[in-house]
Amino acid sequence: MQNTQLDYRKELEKAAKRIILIHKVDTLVKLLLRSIVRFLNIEHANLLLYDQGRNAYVAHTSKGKAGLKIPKGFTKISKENQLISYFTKMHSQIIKADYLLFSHIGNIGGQLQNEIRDQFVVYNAMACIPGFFREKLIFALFLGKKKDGHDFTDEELGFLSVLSSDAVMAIQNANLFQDLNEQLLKNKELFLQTVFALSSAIEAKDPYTQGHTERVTHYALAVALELKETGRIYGIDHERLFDNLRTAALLHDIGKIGIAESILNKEGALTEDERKEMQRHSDIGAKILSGVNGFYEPILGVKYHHEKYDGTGYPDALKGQNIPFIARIISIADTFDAITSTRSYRKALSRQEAVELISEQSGKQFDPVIVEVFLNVCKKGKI
Amino acid sequence: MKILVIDDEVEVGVFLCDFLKRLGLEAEKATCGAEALKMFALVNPDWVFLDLKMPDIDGLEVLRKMKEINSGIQALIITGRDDELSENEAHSLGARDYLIKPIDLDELRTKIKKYILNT
Repeated sequence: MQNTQLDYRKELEKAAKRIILIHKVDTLVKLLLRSIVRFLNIEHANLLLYDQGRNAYVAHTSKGKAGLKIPKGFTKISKENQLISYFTKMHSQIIKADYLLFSHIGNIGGQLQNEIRDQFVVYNAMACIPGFFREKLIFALFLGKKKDGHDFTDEELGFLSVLSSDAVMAIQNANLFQDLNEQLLKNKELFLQTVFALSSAIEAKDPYTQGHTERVTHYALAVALELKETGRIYGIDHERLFDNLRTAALLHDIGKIGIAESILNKEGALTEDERKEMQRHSDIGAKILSGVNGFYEPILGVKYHHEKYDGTGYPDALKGQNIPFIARIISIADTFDAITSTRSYRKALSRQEAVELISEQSGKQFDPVIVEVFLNVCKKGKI
Repeated sequence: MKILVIDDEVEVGVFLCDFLKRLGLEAEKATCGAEALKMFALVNPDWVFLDLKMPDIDGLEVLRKMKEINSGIQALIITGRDDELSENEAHSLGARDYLIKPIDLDELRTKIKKYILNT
């Protein structure tokens, strides 16, 4: 007997340690209830979690015998219910109620006890364990009877209340984690909108590039997706790569803001000096963005998107793999869009001509691996 | 007293049938409109507990058809929040009462006692 008790304690302790690491409330509560039902050998356990929107405790997770399990979201107990009030009231006292047994309801007395007994009856419960976070009741856990017909021992009850406070902490953690993630997503959205606003500033100044930024971003992301799907990206977090690439592609020409309109919008070929001035846009772009925290990688994309694989590009004449990965992708996307768009000084190439030109430049202007992937994406009709 | 529980969520049917049996009532379940009509003919229930949202036939349509066969059939609507309805509407549709999910089990038990067990 002593041994089995120690066993379930050990198992429950293990479960409690595991649940702290889980950041999803659903998974966490399921694991907790499964452990309790199994190790205490009870018919069923139903947990009602506080739902802020409904201001009530709503059936969240059930484990155990089929007919006693309550489907998620099917039942609720109002915050005003006497059972909830009882726990809240007891919690403010020095000797707190860590649990309430069906057999002890008679001791409560007064009108209260009938309403409380009714809740126990409808949930077919022998015990109810409250879960408090500070002064707030987070959940009520109903436990069915033990399969061997025995009462809960003091040791089991004591241990259940310890487990309950662990569960509360874990649920609070999981909720915080969820809030944080939502906040991050909101920030990310705001960030993207800012980047979009910035990138449209370039197009306002340089009407020839109308739609260019968006198309380059689309092509670059299509290439990156194919790189990912063919297992050619390693050592980098995919999601981060996509985020950085999107930012860099949207802002790759932001430096044109610093170039004179007379050069940007000149009809006909540029003089050598004008060409040199025009080439400054990648450096200027990098400088504009250098004040933004955490922009290290997108800046590399902006600064080096005119470098060539054979080392004949600008601004630093970088060669081969020394050119940042993001820049190598944008370079192809940028060139493809430039030559398939009409400019004042030349006509657009057909898609087929452009594809051939890119293919010819494999290993010269462009990274051969990315060219191969780019051609595949074209074949699939994604560009 | 026989009750037919109609809800497209199987778990709801399983739980409610067990709940009713614990109160000393007979209970059967159906998980769609077509099955409900079949079961209705088969078990000839005194009451139906009815979800309004069903994948095949609308719950109210099911109730209307049942009334054609047995005008004395009594109904308790237990339905989700989206199709919230007023008490008057529930009455005009031929239902005795209604509950909105998530339901208070104690309230359900009180209604069962009042309408079906007459205590």
